[in-house]
Amino acid sequence: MDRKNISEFELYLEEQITACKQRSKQFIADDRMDEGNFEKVRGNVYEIFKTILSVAERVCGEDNLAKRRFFLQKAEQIPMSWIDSREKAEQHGDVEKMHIESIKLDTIREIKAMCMQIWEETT
Amino acid sequence: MTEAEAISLFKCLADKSRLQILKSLAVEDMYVERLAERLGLTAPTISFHLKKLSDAGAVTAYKNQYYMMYSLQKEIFQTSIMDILQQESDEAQKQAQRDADYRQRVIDTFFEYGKLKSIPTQLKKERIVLEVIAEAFEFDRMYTEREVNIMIADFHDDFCTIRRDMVSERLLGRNGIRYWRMKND
Repeated sequence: MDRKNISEFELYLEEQITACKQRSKQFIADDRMDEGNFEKVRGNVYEIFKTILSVAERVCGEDNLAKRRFFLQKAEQIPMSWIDSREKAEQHGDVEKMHIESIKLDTIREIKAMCMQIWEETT
Repeated sequence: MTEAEAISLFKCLADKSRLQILKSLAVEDMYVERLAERLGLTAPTISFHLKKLSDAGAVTAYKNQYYMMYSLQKEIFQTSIMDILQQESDEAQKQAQRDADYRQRVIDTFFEYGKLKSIPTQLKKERIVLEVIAEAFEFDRMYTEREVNIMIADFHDDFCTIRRDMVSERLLGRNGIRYWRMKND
C-alpha cells in the first residue's frame, strides 16, 4: 500500500462517510429515524477506520507493509468487542442492539475487503 | 390499552418504514423476505422493525411451513384514539398531588394568619387566592354588596378589586345589587 493507494483508500472512506451522512439525513427527513440512526452507526465505523489509517501512517512512517499490518490488525481487534456485544444482545433478545452490532460488523467486513483489494492492486 | 402500551404503540408508529410494513400487512400476511423485497429494505432491517412492532402489540407471528409469517393485530387498530385519551391516566394522581402542592404553596405565600398580604399579579395565583376567599361565602345565600365588601375586607383592604375579580372569575354571581357564591365544577 503506497502513498497513492493510501490516498485512494482514504478517499474511499471519506466518500462512505459522506454517503452515510447524506443517507442518514434523508432517512430522518423521511421520518425513518431508526434507519437514519443506523446510517450514523455505519458512518461512525468508517470514521473510526479513517482515524486508524491516519494513525498507521503516523506510527509506521514510510514502511508500507507495516501500515497495512497495523491497519488490518486493528480491523481484527476492534470488532471483537462488537461480536461479544452482539452475542450478549442475542442472549437478551435485544434486537436493536443486535442489528446495530451487525451493521458495524458488516461495515468492517466491507472496509477490510476494500483494503485488501487496494493492497492487491499494488502487489 | 394501558397508557404505557399506548405510548409504546405511538412511538412505534412514528416511523415511515414501520407504517409501510403495517400497510403491507393490512393487505395480507407476509414473511420477512417478501416484505424486504416489497419495501426495498434489507431483511435484517425488516426483522428489526417487525420486532419493534411485535413488542408494541401491532403485529403477531405464526409459523407456516418454512416461513415465519407476520400479520396485523387488527384489534389494536380498532381502538379509537378517544378511548385512549379517556382512559384513567397513571399520572392523574401524581398530577393532582402536584396541583394541590402548588396551590398550598401559593396560599402559604400570599396569606398570613388568614389575611391576604397582597393580590397576586399572575392570574393563576390570583385565581387560587380568590377561591380561598370564596370559601368564606355560603352557597345558596344572597349577599348585599355591603356584606360582600365586609367579608372581603376581612382578608384585604382592596375589597373593590377583589369583589370585581371574583365576579369576573365566576366565583361570585351578581344580579343587580345581590351577590351569591357560584358553584364551579
